[in-house]
Amino acid sequence: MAIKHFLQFRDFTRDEFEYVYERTRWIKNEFKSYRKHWPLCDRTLVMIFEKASTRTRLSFEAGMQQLGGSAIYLNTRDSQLGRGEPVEDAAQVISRMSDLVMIRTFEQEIIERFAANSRVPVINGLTNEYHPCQILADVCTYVEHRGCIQGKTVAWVGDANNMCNTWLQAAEVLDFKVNVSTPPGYEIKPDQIGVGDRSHFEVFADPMDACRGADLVTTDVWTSMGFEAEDEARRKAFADWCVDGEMMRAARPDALFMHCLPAHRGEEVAAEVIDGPQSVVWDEAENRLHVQKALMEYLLLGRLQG
Amino acid sequence: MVMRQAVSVQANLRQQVKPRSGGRSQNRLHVQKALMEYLLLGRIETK
Repeated sequence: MAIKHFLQFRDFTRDEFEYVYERTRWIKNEFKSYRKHWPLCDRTLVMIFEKASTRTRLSFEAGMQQLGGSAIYLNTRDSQLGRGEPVEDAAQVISRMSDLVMIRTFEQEIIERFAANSRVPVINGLTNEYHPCQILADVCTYVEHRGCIQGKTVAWVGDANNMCNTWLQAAEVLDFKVNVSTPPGYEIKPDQIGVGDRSHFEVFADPMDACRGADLVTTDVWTSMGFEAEDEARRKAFADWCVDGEMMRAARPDALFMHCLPAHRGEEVAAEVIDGPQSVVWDEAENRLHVQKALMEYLLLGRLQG
Repeated sequence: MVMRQAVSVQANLRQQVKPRSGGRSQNRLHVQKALMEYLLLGRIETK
């Protein structure tokens, strides 16, 4: 059987996502009911971090323990992919000593090369280009609160970063639409991320227009990891791309607000929005744990029942 | 006494391992598991 990886959102079909979300509901319920579910007993997850992390490490490490397995944390002192040792060699060795690998690194190309030489499934824990685990959790959270996301509209306000790229891929796979509004000079590059179907996204110069009628409004920090040198220029360019109460009022009355965190109140989002009644950011953060447990179980054991 | 036995185990394994770098690195995992078990629990009958 071919090894299944989760390197980009489009690596799974809609049918697979539906299974993973159904499984997430079951796993979450079992955990909340204090019932043990240890399908990954004796299995080991290796987590390689070349960038800082709070939520990703916590959710994967706790998740693996809750599934009966163990997790090993490697940072740049322990493993520098492609610098201390060729990525291909690191993949051979690490994948022979573990059952599952999660990597947070820089270029997507690094994780793709690692996966091509890995004997075990590899999960993208964030690259410069994509953040599929976060969108997995975001869609899960939307489904939990509002039901099926098919045919709905997501407004993306802010930087055309790895989160935005992954939303665009998700829209194609799960058949919804993304209204994108970014400042001039920070536009999306759909061709570079293989998103060709323009029926699943629309670009707006004014963020208010992007939010109009949206079912979900979401954003991210103005300066993502790796772009800190541009911070001052970005603060000026993104000043009008702050999700505020006015933008949320332009969306549907039952629209949700999401943010992958950490958030900067007064920059990309107003406090009244992230701390307001439409915000589901804490559920969104918690769901990283549950949905990644379902993801790890699926990658290692395939489809299970009960 | 215990150390001599461990060296002997390693020597036996060395003869069995095929000279492939991937297999060699993987066997670090497995042989060290056997070593730790032996150091803590002594000889255990293999089922």
